[in-house]
Amino acid sequence: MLVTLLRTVILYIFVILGLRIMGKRQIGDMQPNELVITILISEIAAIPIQDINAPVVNGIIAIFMLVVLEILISFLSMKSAHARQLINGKSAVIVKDGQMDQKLMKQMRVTVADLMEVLRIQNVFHIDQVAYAILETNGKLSVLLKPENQPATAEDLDKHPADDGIPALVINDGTLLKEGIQLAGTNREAVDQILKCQRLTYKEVFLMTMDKTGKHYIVKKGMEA
Amino acid sequence: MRRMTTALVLVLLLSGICVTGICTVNHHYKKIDRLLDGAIDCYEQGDLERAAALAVDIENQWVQSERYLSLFVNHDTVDEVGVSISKLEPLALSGDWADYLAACKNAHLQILHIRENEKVNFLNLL
Repeated sequence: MLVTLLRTVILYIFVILGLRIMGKRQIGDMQPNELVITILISEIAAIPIQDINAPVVNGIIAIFMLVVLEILISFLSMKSAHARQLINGKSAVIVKDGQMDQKLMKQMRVTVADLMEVLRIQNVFHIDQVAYAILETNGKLSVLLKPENQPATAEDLDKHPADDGIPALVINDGTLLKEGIQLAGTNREAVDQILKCQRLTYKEVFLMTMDKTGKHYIVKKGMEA
Repeated sequence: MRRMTTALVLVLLLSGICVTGICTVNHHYKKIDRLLDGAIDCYEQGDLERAAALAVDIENQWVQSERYLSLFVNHDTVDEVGVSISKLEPLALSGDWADYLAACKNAHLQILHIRENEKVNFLNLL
């Protein structure tokens, strides 16, 4: 029993290490080969955990070999367009100027219902509003609306709003975050000043965000936002 | 590029582990094989006393080799060899020499099987 427990810890560490070496990617953004390798790694790790007769080394070798192959494949994809197309496939324009490419949809095994569902998720309810719908290699659909159906931007309205930057998290559960202060383009003194005005200490703050203009938002501990 | 370097280091490390595995299996195969061959020769030459003594040596050697082999080979496969080898001494003491010879040859084949499985060849890859 203790052996199983320790083997689980060892393999967990190696799986996490392997995935970290492979790099960050959200599951939804993975290419098919990345998803397969991630699933394979978890499957391989499960074998020595469940079967104490299987040497842990065998599992570790397989996990890291998959990681190495994944890195090589990514490198090849990055360096060569041909390799990228061979490994990941290529994106397909399934709607052009409001017209569905039925032949391509059949080839890609995308039904009209699937297409309409994805369009609805992207707040597009009429297919004739679509200029281009592109099925990406990771299975996601990118949609570009016709110019007349695109929401107006500040540029369209000839407005020039100021860039407030990103509201950065400067205090998280009572802890001051240096990276957040840098991202907000401020300093510790400014944060201290704001807290002093509100008669708060770091420990009393659950969340504090701030942007480049100094606009801030504070949630006290034990208080709803 | 840093990731590629990591991959290269990993490949080297993994290759090292694999080569260590093959060398360990070969090393312990040779040790056990030599003792088993000796036991078979002694029996065939009628030196039963020496054959019985070798049975003890084989068992002692196996206890040591088993630890290292278990790092790289499935434990069930290693255990099977252990079962065959553990029969040698009782068979020699009871004078059951035909079964002793059979157990020696069985253990010989089982350990040969372990070594062959670790070899990199076309059949093993399939």
